[in-house]
Amino acid sequence: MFSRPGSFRIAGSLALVVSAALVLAGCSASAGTGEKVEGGTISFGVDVDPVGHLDVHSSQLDINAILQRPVFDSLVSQKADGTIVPWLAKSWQVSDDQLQYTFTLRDDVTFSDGEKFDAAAVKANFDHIVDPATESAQASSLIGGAYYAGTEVIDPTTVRVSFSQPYAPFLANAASVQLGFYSPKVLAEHASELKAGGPGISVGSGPFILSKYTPGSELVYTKNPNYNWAPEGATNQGPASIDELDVKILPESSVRTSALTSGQVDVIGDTAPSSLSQIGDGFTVTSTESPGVPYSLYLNVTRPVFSDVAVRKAFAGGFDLDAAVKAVFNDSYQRAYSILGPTTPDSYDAALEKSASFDVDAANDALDAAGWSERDSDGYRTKNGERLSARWISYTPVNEDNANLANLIQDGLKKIGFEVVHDQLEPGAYLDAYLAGDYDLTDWGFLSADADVLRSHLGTGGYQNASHLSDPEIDATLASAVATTDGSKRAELYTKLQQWNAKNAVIVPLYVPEYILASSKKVGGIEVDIHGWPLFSGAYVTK
Amino acid sequence: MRGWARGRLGLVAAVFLLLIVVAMAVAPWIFTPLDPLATDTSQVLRPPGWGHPFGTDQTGRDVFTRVVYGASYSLGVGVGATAAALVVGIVVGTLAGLAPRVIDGVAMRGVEILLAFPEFLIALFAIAVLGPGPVNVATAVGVAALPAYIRVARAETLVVRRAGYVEAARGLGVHPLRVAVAHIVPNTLRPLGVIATIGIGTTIVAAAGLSFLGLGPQDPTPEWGLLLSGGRNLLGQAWWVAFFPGVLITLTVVSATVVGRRLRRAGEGRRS
Repeated sequence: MFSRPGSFRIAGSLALVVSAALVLAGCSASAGTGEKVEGGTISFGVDVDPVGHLDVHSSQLDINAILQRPVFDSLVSQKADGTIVPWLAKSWQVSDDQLQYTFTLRDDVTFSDGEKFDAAAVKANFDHIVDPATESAQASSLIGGAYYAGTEVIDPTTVRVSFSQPYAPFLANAASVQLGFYSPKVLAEHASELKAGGPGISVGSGPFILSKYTPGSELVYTKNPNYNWAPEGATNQGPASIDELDVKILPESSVRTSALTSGQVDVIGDTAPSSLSQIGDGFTVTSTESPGVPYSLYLNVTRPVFSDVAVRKAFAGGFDLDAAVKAVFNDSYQRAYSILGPTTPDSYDAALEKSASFDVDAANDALDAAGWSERDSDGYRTKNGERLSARWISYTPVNEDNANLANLIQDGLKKIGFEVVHDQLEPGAYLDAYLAGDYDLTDWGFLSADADVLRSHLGTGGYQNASHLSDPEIDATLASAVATTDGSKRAELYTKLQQWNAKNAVIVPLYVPEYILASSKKVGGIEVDIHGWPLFSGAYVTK
Repeated sequence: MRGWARGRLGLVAAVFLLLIVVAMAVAPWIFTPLDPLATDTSQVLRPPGWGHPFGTDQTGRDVFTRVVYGASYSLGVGVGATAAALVVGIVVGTLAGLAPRVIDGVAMRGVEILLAFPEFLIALFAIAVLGPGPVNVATAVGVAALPAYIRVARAETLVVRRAGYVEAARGLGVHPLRVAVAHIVPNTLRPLGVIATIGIGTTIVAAAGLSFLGLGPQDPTPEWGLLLSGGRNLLGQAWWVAFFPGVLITLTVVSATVVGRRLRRAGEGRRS
């Protein structure tokens, strides 16, 4: 099963003049100006309807992760700074060989349909994730993929998850909504309806209950009055303050902005950076740099044009990325230097910021040396009568910022005689071309709170390996990094990978997306997680 | 007298504007020395002024140049789709008008079913079948416009076939096909020409609408509907990116309609 997670949220667009303090703080609760009142409704405008992708165990849409977080709880919780704290698991132990994680569960948790949360529920959910019938790519990869060996019930409040080799990202991944828990009754009775989702199907133990879903229009959540099992350290340990959370689907970014400024909604997500000037001072804006793989181009190394590393490097250095990112994002987003975002825990190699450079002469020389020295009537380079041309496929809809960036890249490369044909394809046509490998490059960003995301992008056969890279040495480095729990050792291994990519230009990182959340001062208590996504369990409205 | 003058002024303005748009479509380089695809990161979102009369877009491209080059796409689709619909409409309409009553009845019921749907809906349906792309947009818009041409061609044929010269030609034993081509079709053309002139405006709007929805030519092609769509989220900060393409679409369509109506009135006058 294939789908495009990162692209959807990247599709939102991103960043603008947001105070550095907010960016660095990562986690910040919005503060209302008035006095807090109990009850009330908060409305939240989002860009994408996850229709048909509501199953947390199989969906790869970031928007689904955002919209299901109020409904689904996880074993542990990851704070905005990356640390892991207890949630439905009170505590855990890792065996000395790091192959077994034993969790002690809370015994006071119930799902909103009355089912009890226990070790059997954990097992039922983890079994569901790895069941081939679930067709899960992301969740089954987060749980360990081939390394995952199984889950066993020790007693009703003790559960053990085993691996065939050490799998360091597991705890952080266990905090994700993709490894969240359905009521076992739903898994038993409605397994085939989970993707469609909706009230009575998307049933978890979270602070909110999905009570109404109108595809293309809205999702309504009502407060779970029994909720009393928030993550350790959460500001609000009890039931939610608000009675209702209304999510409105507003695909046009300008519509979301005006819905916020006119008071039709209280909070908007995936705010366009260009719209921040319209939003103004009367609102709280939180902008969070996304961890994971920045928005990047993936060069297909199995195709003739990009099989030559010299051509790949000329491509990567042949256009002025600094100027392009500045023109499109007006300083609100930073250009990317590495295949990992700066906020990805234990991994980012800041040294690359000095090495990357735009150099037309070097690119021209390299292409000449690689044999692309003749020019045709359109000014493009040729070799043996064949034009130097690359086919770039994009999954539609392409957001305007990315489309503008693409134009600048195309135009820049044209100046060194490198033709880029940009085909923006309907999802069906894109999948056909992607799966057939009929492209020279494609684009997306992939959000992840763990650097192990590189395994799926660079590892042989990885499910996001659009470059079709297969290099035993890279595979070995990725394998040892995923088995290492020591933070500095991991950073060393991931630094090696980032530097290898900088030398080999397999992935060309473009910019670091940010998730921009804007909210009215009439609401407060909205916290954001490590991705910058909103958490509504402590949210309130003011008088 | 004043009304006449005003009407005449409007007509002159409309014809003048259409001529300019045709000139833009045929020889865009007369109007602007710039390349519609050339980006410039130092000239992003500049407001209208010297050097950039319509301002620049998010990648520093000159909006005026893009609007000028866009004329060939929009007019090409408008004229191409209308011409195709006209030719097919004449063939089908004439045949239906001359055919035995049963075949004519079946064909006309089919056309009436198509007429029951809004043209834009038919165009969207055609795009759904054909897939997006500039040629397919022209085809879709042409298919959507077709039923009206068939109806008119058939109605005119029914009138003309009873005319004395047609009866005479038949009586002289001229081959029926020759009668149709030489005597019937030429005499149905005038009213069809009038609705086609108005139709060009309608097809330009429909084609721009489909492009706005992302079903036509793709970025960075400078097509008017696409330009409009590209500026829609910038209205708050850079109105010119969407405004000028919008104005050009409006003026062109209004002009085509004004000219078409004037032709219709002239035609009606002559007939009475």
